[in-house]
Amino acid sequence: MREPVRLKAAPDWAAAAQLLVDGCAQAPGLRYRVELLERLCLALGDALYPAFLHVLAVVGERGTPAAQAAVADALVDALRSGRLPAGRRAAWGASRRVEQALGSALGPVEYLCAWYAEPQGADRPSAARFDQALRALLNLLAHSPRASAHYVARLRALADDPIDGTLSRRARAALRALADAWGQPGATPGTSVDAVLQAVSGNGRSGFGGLGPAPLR
Amino acid sequence: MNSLSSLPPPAFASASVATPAELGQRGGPPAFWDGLDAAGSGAPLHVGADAAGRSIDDIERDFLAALCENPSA
Repeated sequence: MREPVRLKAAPDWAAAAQLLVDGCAQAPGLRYRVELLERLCLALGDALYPAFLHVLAVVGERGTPAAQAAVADALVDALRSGRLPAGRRAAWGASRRVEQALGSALGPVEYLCAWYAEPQGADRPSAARFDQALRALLNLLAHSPRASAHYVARLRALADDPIDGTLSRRARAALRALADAWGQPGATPGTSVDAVLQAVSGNGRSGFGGLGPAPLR
Repeated sequence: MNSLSSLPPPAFASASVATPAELGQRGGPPAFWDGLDAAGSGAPLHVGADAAGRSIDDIERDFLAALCENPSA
């Protein structure tokens, strides 16, 4: 069995981000871009999926418009082809048994939101870190004109599916708030992130604290 | 009849798959987002020409080498 890769104590995030940018920008076609994203994500594995998110966030913070557009377009291509680079978190309420703990794979935005929305999550990002990271991801995706429509639809589908068990009610409320904010004309990464923060803290219109009794579906 | 309020609390903290706590045990940083630059504090990332014609295998190898201490695992 292959040994899982381990993060360096001081990963070279910028070098990894540059490789991703160049690979997406110089890709000969859609198929190559989608496979590149998928391979890099799989190479890190589920345990290091947050490292993939970190690399994307670095692109979102430091990439030139052309660099961000190259990666954002690749992500949208992957999303449209059903091969969005995704990581699997433990399902909400899961036991220690790995086979039962695996939930559905989550893409970058929903993974980060689900991680933050769990108040008991280990090493949960602080509100400041979450704000910074999600803002960077949304800033990155904003460089593809196709991203908003496709990603908002994905978030709504996830938020409206309580059966799967991957996402807690709180996480689904966060995704719904993000989809609502992001889908508004003139939405910015800042307004979208604020909507998630409010939903998770229970202050949002559709936030956890504002929900009535949960219907059983 | 069951209701959601009767379900057990979220168990990410004790789950054994993809929890960031495990990253520390596996050699990852305990605070995962440390090192994320404040906007504009790092050198900009431009589209380079170096990647033209490179195979995905080569990019994957260098990507893992940049991030991982055992990239050939």
